[in-house]
Amino acid sequence: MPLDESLNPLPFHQNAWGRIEDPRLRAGRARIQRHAWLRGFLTGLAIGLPVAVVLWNFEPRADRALFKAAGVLVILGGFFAALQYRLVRSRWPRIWDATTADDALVETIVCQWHLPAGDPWRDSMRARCAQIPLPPLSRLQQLAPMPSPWPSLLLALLALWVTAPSPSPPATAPQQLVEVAPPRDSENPREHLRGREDAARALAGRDSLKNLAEQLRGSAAAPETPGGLLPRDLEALQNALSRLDDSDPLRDSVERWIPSQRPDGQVDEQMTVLPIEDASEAGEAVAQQLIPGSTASSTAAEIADGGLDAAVDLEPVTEESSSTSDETPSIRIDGGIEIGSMAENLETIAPLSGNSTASWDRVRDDPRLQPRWKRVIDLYLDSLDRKEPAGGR
Amino acid sequence: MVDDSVNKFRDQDRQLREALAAIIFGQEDAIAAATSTLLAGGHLLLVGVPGTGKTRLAEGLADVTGLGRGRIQFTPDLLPADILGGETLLPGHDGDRVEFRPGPVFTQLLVADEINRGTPRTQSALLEAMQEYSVSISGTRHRLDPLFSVIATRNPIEMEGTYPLPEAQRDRFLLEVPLHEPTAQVLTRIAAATTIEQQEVARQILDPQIFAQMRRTVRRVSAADPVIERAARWVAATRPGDPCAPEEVRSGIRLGAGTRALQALVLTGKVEALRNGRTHLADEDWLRWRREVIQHRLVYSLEGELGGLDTDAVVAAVDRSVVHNR
Repeated sequence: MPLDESLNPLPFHQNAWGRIEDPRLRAGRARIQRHAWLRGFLTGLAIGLPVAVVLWNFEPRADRALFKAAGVLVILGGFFAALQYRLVRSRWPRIWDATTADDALVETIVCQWHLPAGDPWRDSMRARCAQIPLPPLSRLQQLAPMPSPWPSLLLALLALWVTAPSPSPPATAPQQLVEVAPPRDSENPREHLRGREDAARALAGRDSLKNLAEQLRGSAAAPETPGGLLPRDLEALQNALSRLDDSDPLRDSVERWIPSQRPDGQVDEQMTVLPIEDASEAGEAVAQQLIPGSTASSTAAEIADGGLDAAVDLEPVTEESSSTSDETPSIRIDGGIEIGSMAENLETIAPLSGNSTASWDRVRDDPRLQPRWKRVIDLYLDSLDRKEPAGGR
Repeated sequence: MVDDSVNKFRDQDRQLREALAAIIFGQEDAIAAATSTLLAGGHLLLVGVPGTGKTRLAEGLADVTGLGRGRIQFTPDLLPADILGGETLLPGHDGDRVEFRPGPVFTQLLVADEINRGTPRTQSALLEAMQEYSVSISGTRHRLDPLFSVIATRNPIEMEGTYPLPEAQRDRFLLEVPLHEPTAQVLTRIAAATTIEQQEVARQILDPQIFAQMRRTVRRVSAADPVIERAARWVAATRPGDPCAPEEVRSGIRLGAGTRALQALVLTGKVEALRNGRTHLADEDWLRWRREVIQHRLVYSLEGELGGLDTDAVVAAVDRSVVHNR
């Protein structure tokens, strides 16, 4: 309390200096204020350097890191410079006096500068202005030394050492590499966080991929690879895979979920190729999951028949708002085969009956169907027409 | 012109102190404080055990300055009228008349010897004279000489038949100057100088006009507001209720220094500034006599007295609180 009280000048002389017209007084004041400003700026830099290093290390993007680090340095430097400048604004005569042998001379001259002339003692005091030596920089440095850079540099190095990403292990014998290979999930997870988050976002809304998304977010263990995936799921998996970093160890986990995308071109062992009756000449095959309860299945007869003659509900599939922008509601036929997305307001189309072409025609003629889906149905019907000569129907 | 005035003041002041040092041995600080008080236009309280030269210093000050002198030996039966004077019935040819007969207070330099032997009633007779430079008797106000000053002596040891000075009276003394007991070396000098036939006497250095001019010179010394502000903060810190007051003051002081203490610091500081060849007041000037300024103004609390708190401890604490942090 006493220190603060004594450091705060009382109001009655805080702004009593007024305009200083004497060039020597102004020169001395400018020198003191420059020194104070520079001291404050360097103090800000010294404080900001370790902070900037930490920010630099935690920001993965180099341009942002540079911007943040430079911003911190400039802001702190400017703040402390302004603070010092403000402090000396009302104290510069006292600081000047401290640099000279004559105590309180500048204070007295400046304080009495605005009093009317005519008094010989006061005039004599003003005349001494020209004889006051300017505050020497060396003395200013003694009174208010510039901050030493070493503590700041040491702190910055310490911050660099603590927060910097650990370097990759040196390449030695291959055997050693195998032995010291770290667990894949824990290997530099910070580098891959953004990619994993993007990938998990790409899987949003797919119930069958929910566990995988949670694994990518790190909130669940590696799930078992499911048997049946919809084409839409595969598409989401591809999307997620493309967002993962190449070096991310979780890529393998995601790739395991995409059997058809294996680089060797082999089909997953769990998949069985079913020949389509009456359509073998066309060389078509349908991969059917043999896992019980799978809804993503269709029979060759159904497909060869050009669709499903049974009642098919077209249901809107609502997606989470956080899903990727290219995802839109889709149509599911018979609760299983998904043929693509559909207008959002499409709810249920009347049950199909009769021959398949007619049923598709009914669907096509539904006024709520968007034109693009009408084109899809047209293409589908065209393909059925092309199959008919081969006896597919 | 200004430099001439300053140099002249310094010469006269130096001669004044040398003349006093010729008759008072080993009390250089007391001599400097005493002359500062008179040049600042204040009243002086000399405190010391018997044989330290209090009365000799008071008399010597009157001698070297050439000021008119009055002396009162304070005793318990002394009355205010014995100091101030009074109206007397005088017979005349055309009838009796009442005439005011001034007391010894109507002089330039009043030596009040053993002031603590007077009763508080008598001591209080000096209050108006010391502050207002006037005396009011029977509804008539009588002006004192502009150069009027009181030099009082007090023996701090004797308790029998003495009356402590009231706070208001003490506050009117600019400085309380202690005279320390002389060392063996000084005692030797005193014995040698006072036991011979031709004793050294104080010679007059100044005359009242020159002394008045020196007082005016003191008042022309410039004092910047920030310097006075720092002195004011120092004085305020001797009060227990002040936020800057150190712990020693908060717990050990019941009444701190006041307005007259600040005036005393500034005025004696201006004398010091001239002695140092300056025409402006600096911090080291007003700090010079701060101990003598506050020591008779502090009223200690019971805790402070039991704890042995003294002026030196208070000054050191206030310095730590204000001066070193300013």
